[in-house]
Amino acid sequence: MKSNVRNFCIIAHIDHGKSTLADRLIEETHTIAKRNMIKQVLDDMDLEQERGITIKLHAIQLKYNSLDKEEYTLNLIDTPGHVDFSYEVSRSLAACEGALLVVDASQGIEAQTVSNLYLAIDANLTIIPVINKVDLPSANVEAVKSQIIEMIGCKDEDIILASAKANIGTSDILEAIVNRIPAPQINDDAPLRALVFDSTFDAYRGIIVYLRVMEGELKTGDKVRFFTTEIPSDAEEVGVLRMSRVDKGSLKSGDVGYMVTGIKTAAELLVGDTIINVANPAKESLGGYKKVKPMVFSGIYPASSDDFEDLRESLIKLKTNDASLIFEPESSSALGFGFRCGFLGLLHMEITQERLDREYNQTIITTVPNVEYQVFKTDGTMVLVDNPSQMPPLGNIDHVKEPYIRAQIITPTDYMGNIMKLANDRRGIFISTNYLTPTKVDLIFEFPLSEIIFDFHDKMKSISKGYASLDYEFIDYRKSDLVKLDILLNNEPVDALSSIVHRSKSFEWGRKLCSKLKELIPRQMFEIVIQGAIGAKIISRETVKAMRKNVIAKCYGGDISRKRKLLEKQKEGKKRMKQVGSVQLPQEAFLAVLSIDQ
Amino acid sequence: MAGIYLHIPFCDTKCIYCDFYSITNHSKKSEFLGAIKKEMISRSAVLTNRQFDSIFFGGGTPSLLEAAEFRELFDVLYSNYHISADTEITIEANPGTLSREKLDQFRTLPINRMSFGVQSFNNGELKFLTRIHTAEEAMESIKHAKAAGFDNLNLDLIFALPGQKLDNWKYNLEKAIKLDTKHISAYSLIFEKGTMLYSMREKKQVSQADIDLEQEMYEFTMEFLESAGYKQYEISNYAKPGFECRHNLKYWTLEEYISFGPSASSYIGNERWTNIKNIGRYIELVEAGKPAYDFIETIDSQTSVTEHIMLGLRSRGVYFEDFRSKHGIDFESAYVTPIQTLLSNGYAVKDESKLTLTRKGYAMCDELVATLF
Repeated sequence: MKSNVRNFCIIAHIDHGKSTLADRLIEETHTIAKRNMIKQVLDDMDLEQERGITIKLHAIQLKYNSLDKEEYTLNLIDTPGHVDFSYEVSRSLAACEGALLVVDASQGIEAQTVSNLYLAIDANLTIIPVINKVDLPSANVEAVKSQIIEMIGCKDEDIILASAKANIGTSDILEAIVNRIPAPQINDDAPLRALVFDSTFDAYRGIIVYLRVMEGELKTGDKVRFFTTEIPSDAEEVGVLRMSRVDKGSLKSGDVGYMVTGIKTAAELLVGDTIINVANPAKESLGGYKKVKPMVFSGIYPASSDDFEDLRESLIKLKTNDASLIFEPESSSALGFGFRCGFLGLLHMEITQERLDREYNQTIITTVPNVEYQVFKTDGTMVLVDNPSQMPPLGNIDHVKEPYIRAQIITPTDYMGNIMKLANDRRGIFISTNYLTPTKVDLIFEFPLSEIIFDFHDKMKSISKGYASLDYEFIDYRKSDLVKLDILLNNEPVDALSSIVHRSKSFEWGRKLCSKLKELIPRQMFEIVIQGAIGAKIISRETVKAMRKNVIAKCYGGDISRKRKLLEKQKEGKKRMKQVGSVQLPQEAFLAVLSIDQ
Repeated sequence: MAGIYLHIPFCDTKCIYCDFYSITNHSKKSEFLGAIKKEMISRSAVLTNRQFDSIFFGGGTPSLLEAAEFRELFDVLYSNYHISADTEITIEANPGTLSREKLDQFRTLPINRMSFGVQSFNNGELKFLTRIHTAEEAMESIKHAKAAGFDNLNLDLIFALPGQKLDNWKYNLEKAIKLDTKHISAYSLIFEKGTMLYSMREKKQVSQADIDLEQEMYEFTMEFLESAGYKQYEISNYAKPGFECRHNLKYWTLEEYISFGPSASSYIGNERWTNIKNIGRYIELVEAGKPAYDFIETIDSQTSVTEHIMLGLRSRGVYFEDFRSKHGIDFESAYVTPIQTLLSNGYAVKDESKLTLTRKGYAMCDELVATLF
């Protein structure tokens, strides 16, 4: 039987028009009435719309009547477009037979697109190249065409010219999807094997997984199991994703849809796992499941220590729809009880912080992010250190290894010099150059991950007027000359302000950190001496003068109510600060390192 | 005993730093006078058991009113309220608005205290503050007031002006004490939201004085005036012995005050309310026989304690007996740690009857109250 299902995704760089194109496809297939169309319907988390990036995966089913008068079912599976989420991207790709490669007509191909494209080619996907925004005056269609041809070896006429904004090329894209992307292999009789490519948490129904049935059939009421994680589940409801979930009772091979699992808590990541039927279990998984490994760590503490349990609850809830987040309780002498959290990358960390604040109303203090170090001690043992305050004493350390990554930076040649300089400042090791076009170059470096996680991406964007793009992958751990930099306030070390830095940078770093803290710590009733120290050696010092005047000159009849409220507000403000010894520290102080201009 | 306040909102010009309710259009003056008299009468019925020993005309510029207009206001006050014989009756005056002739007329009224908005003796600074008078006129006015027979005078000064040096401020203080008034108020400049000055700072047209310089000026002020015989009895107020402003003290000791006119605040029983800051609406409400306030709050016992500490510390101190009688709380045992912190750091001194801030404490008053209590 010939299947009229097509499963595809869109590979594009941020801002190259993926969401707008998705909107056009949804509109063109009448999946949603035009008047109900909110801009970029796929990005439904507030944060995603604000940041203009897709964080969580989504999928939607479109019904398309093609020119040959056939009705097709198109499943568009969305993919996140950021370097932190490449595992999720790979799982989405595995659920598809084809991919639209969307490239901005003026920007050309960017690093993230290249790595996702290679993932798609590795997964044997049919690639439909689309040049978007061709109607813009700055469009350079010919140059972008030759880039694409170079990269995927397609023919000139295979490339579709489009403008999602102006609705140019939308029907060509739909026709190409049905004509070029192969129909899924149908094998309904085999034991069930379904790939989970995403999951969300519904407060009433528990975990809902998004899946692609590869073989067999999944029906409501089936007893199923996640192959690798061995988590049992009931298929409480099975259906497809239109603008909302539509209960279908069953999904067959080739279909994309969802399953309500009935699981209310899950510490394990389900994305990438294979669902099998308990009654007729498949012998093998579909493969590809990976436990994602956090790369960036930071402490998250409640601003008020009374809120520790609240924060724990919130993290548990957050984890139900973000299994890649890991956390465990830790305590800091400065901040009290909190959690050490592991993230896929810096963006993942920022998103988590913002979600805790916005969705869970948690006032939190986060500490400076760091990577995980391998510390080899003089007694021959090795410890993993993901928190600077746990660094063994200097005398007990033989050597320290830190994670290295391989970075691919694609940039117009004009900014090569700037990029080289930045890479040099960040202990980068230059590996190779590859000219994609005479004006665009692909640079490969190796970096210590710790040099990338703070502000490398922002810096790279600003020195390249936004044109350079970055992608990276972990390679190995390497020996480095690293030291722990402590910060002392009035001679008391503050563990939450410690950081691990390369020795060659430690003095400058200490100086800048102290002066940044001086800026951030408000005057208090006594003088505050800020010191940077490596072991017992003080390397930098700043002073916050004592506050000597804080009084409003006037307070007469009409001012009293206002004045009292002002004082109450002032008290509230003090509550939001963290008392460390005798010093009140504002929350920003714990992230001072991030705002240091390198 | 309670106080009475009347807000006269008219000014010739609006000064850039002023956040009091004032208007330069005087066309509603007679309607306003009618309304404020009506408000005084309508409020009087429930206040028949109160005795009053202070009346304060604030503004605006009360000295813009004619003697005859004052006389009518006094007629209403004296025939509707129990006013003690020795009542302190203050009017605020703008040095530019008082001729010797007008002062002689005012002398025939019950007014016995005048407060002059001098602000500075430097004409450049006066110009910056958009005051309409000169240093010379200010000095003249005070001499005239004395000659007319007013001997209980206050003058207001402002320090920490943008660009002002410590020496400029010392000059102003020296000029001030030469005039030998009974009372001096010295305020550090406040950038109040909604004022011209505030938006000038927003637009970076002026910059606020450095906080360390401001502190230096404040410290100098306290020492200098004290040595000139003026005893500090509040953050910004200094008086020769026996000449503290009785009316203002009522604000700081939680005594009652009834107020009339737009923007005026009253505190009677456990309620505090503030009249609407719009002369047209004020007149309409009063003429319709309605209350003219747009803000009212009930001060519960906890709030009253907070206000007592906040106001006590910024003025003559917290008196233990007074605190006990007002709130039924023993101040010393209820606030052991804050008191200890204040004393051990030299922010306050204590004797058997009261806890009073030192100069160092006055300068930090808001911080101390917010941090310790």
